[in-house]
Amino acid sequence: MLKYTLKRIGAMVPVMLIISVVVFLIIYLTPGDPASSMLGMEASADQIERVNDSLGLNEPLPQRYVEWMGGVLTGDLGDSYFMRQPVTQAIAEHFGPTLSLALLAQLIALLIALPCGVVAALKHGSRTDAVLRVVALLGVAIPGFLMALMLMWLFAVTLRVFPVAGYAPLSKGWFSHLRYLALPAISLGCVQAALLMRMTRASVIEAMQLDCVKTARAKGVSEVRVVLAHALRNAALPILTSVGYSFGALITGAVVTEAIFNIPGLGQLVTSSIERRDYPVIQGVLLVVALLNSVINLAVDLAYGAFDPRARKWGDS
Amino acid sequence: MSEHLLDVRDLCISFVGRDGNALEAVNKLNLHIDAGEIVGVVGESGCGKSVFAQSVMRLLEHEQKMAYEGQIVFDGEDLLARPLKTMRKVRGCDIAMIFQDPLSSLNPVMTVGAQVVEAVRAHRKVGRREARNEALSLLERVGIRDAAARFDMYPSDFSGGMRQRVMIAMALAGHPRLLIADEPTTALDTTTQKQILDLLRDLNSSEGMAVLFISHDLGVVTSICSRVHVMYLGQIVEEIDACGLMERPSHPYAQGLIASIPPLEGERVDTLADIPGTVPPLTAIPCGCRFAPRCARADERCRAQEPPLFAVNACDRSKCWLVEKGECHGC
Amino acid sequence: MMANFKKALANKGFVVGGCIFLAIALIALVGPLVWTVNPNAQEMTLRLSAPSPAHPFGCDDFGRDLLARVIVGARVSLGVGIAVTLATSALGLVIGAYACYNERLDHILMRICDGLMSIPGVLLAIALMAMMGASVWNVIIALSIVYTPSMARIVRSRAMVVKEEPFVEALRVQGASTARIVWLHIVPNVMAPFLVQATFVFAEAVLSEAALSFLGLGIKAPDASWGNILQAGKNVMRKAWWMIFFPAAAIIASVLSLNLAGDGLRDALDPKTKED
Repeated sequence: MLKYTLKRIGAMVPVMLIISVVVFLIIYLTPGDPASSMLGMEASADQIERVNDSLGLNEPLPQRYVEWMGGVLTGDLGDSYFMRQPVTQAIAEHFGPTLSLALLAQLIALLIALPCGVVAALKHGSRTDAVLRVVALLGVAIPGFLMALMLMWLFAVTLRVFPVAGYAPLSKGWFSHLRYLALPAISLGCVQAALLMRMTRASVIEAMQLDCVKTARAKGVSEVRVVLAHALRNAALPILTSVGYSFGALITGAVVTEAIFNIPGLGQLVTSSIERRDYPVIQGVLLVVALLNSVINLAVDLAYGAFDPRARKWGDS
Repeated sequence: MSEHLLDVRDLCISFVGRDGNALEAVNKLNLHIDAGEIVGVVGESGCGKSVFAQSVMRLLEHEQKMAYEGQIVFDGEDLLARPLKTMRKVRGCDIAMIFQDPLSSLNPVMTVGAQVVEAVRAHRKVGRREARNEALSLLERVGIRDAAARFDMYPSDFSGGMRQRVMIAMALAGHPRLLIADEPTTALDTTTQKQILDLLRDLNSSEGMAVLFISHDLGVVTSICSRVHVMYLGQIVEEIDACGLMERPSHPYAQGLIASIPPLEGERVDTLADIPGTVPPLTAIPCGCRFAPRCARADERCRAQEPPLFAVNACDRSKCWLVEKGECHGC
Repeated sequence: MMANFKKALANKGFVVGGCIFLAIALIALVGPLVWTVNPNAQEMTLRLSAPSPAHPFGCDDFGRDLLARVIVGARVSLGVGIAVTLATSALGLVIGAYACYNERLDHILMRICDGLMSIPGVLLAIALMAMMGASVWNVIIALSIVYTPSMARIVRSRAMVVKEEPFVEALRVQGASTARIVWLHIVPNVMAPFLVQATFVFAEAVLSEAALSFLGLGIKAPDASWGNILQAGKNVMRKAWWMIFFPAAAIIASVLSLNLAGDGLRDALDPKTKED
C-alpha cells in the first residue's frame, strides 16, 4: 500500500510540472500589459517601462519561469499587481465562499443522487425509473448558470424567498450563510446530482448482477442487506470515483455561479483579475485549483485501496 | 403425502421477456431427492440444469421475470406457493447452494470471515463473538487450516479450492438438509476438484445432508452421485443409477455423451465419437422428440410425437420410443 | 459500418435526439432566410416589448427582435459546436492513435493531457479567452484545447486494446507500415467510442460557449449568441422573462437532443462502456 501511494504521488510530479508550464505560458502569451492597466491610460512610456522593470516583466522567459517556479515551490505565488497584496493571501480570502459553495452543492447532489440512483437501479425498467432517467437527462442538459438564472427568477425575483445575490460569511451566523448560499448551491448541486445519479444507477444495476449478490440471497440474507452490504458496497467504487472527479466540474460551475450571484469566491477573483490583467492572481488560482484537483483525484485513487482489496494488490504488483 | 425430501413435479420454467413472450427453459421436469441422498443432473451447457438448480431456491425471480408451472415440494411444502419474500426463511436454512465460480460468487470487498459470519447470523440471533467462533469452526470444518489467521483476508487472497471451501462453509452455516451444488468443481483443477468432491461426500455422510449435484462432467457426476438425471434441452431424458449410466444407458443422447468421453486407458483412438449437429436454441425447439434431429436412430414417430418417460426397469427411466419397442441397447 | 448505422437507427433515443437536433440545425441554416428581420436593428420604442405577432419572442433591451437574435445565436452556437467537434476529433484521433505506437511519445502526450485535464474545463477556457481576447475564433480555439485531451485519451485507450489484437500483430509481421495499420485498421476500430465522445463534445462545446458568452468572455454584443442574450436578460429579469426563456429553451433543446443522441449511440454501438 505504501509503495502504491508513493508511486501515485511520484506520478503526480510530471503532471504538476506540465500544469505549471501551461499556466505560466497562458499568462505570458496574454496580450495587453499590466503596467498600463495599473497606471491608467495617461501613463508615459517611461513610467510603464519602470513598472515593467520592477515587476520583472523585462527578463527572458525561461528565467522568469524559473524564478516564478522557485517562488511557487516555497509557497510564494507573487504579488497581485492590482490589489497590492500577496496572491496567496488573495486566494485564501476568496477560498472560503467557493469551498462552502462547492461542499454544499456536493452535499445536495449526493442527497438527491444516491437515493434516486439506487431506486432507479432497483426498479430499472419500471415507470419510476423512466421518469427519473428523463429528469436526470434534463439535469445534464441544463447548464448550471441557466439553472441558477431560473431559480433566481423563481425564488428570488418572483417568490422573494431567497436573496437575489450576495454572500454572508459563516461568521455572520449559520442561517444567513445558508440563506445566501441556498440558491447557488441548489443550482450547482442539481446539475451535479444528474450526473451522479446516472453513474449511481449504472453502477448499482451492474452490481446487482454480480454473482456475489446471488450468493448473498442464497444465504438467506434479507433483501435490504443484499442491497446495502453487497450491491452498494461493490457499486461504491465507481460512485466514489465520480464524486471525487466531479470536483473539477464543481469548481467550473462555481466560477460561473459566483458571477451570477455575486459571491466573492475564487471565480469572482478570476473574472475580475482578467479584466484588470492581474497575471499573478490568475496564475495562482489556476495553479491552486489544478493542484487541489490532482490531490483530490489522488485521494480518490487511494481510497480505492481502502474499499477494494483487489486494487491494493494490483498496486503492489 | 410425500416421503421425499425434495419432490419436483412437472416443473416448467420460463423466462418472461419485456414484451411478454415466454421462453421455456425447463419442461415437465420430475425429480426427487431423499434425505441423505446425492442426486446428479448432467447435461451440456444450455440444457437448463442451472436454471433448474437456481429455481429450486427461486433465485432467478429477483433478476428476471419468471413463470413457473408444476410444484417444487420440499419437506411436504410447495415452495412455488410461497410468497417470494418468505423464501428467505428457506434459503440457507433448509436448502443451501454453492456455485460454479467461487471467485465471483464471493463478495470481493468483504472479508471471508465477515461473509461466513453473515451466513451464520442470517437465520439465528447470535452475538458477534459467538458468530465469529461459529464461523471459525465452520471454516475449520471445511478444511481451511489456520482459519483464525485467514479470517480477515479477502477472497482475492485465497486459491480457487479454498474459495469453494469458504462457499461450502457458508452453505453449512444454517445446517441445511439439502445442498444444491451448481457445477461446484468446474472452475477448479483436477486435484482440487477431487478434494472438494471428497469434502462433499464427507459432509453428506457425517451431516446427513442431501446433495443435488449439477455438472456437465459425466465422470464427476457418476463418481459422487447415487442416481443421475441426464438433461437435454430442458427435459430429463434419462434417469439411471450412477453405475448404470456408464454401462447401460438407454437414451441415444446419453449413449452419445458417454461415447464422446476420451478413454483414459487402453487403445488410442483416432477419432472420438460425437453427437452430430448442435444444441438448437430455446427459440427453435424441434417438435416430437427434442433429440430426434440429432439422433441416428430417429424415425417418423420420433419426429412427430414426443415420447413419455418410459420405465426401463424398477428405477431407471428413459424418454425414448426405443424403450417401448424394447430395442434400446443395454437393456 | 453500415450494420452499426442500422443498429443506431433502431435506437429510439438516437433517432429522437437526432431529429430534434437536425430540426434546430435546419432552423439555424434557413431561419434567417424565412424570418428576415435584422437581428441588429435597434428600435428604442420597442425596448423590452413583450412577445407579440410582430415579434413572436419579444424584443430585447435595445429593442432588437429576439427571434431573429435567437436564430442568429443558433448559427453561432452550433457553428462553434461543429468547429470544436471537428478540431477535437481530428486532433484526438491523431494524438490518440499515434500515441500508442511510441512509448516515449505516449508518455509525454498523456502527461500533457493529464495536466490539461486537471484544470477544470471552463476555468481553462476562461484563462485562454482572457489571453486571446473575445472572438468567435478564439472561443473555438480555446474550447478545442480544453476538449482535445479527453478525446485523445478515449481514442488511445481503445487503440491500445485494438493494437494488441492478433490481426494487428499479424499485419505487423507481414510488414504493414505504421501509418497503414493506424489509418486502415486501428482508426475504424475506435470509431464507436470516438463517435459517442464526439456527440458529447458537441454538447459540451455548446454549453461552454454559452457560459463564456454569458460571462462576457465569448461572443461580444452586438453579435448575438444565446449566452450573451442571457447575460443581458439577467439584468432585466424582473421585467422581461422572455429574454431568459427563449435562449434558455434553445440551449436546453440542443444540449438535450445531443445527449439523447449520444446516449442512444453509445447503447447501440458500444454497450460495454457504461455511463462514466
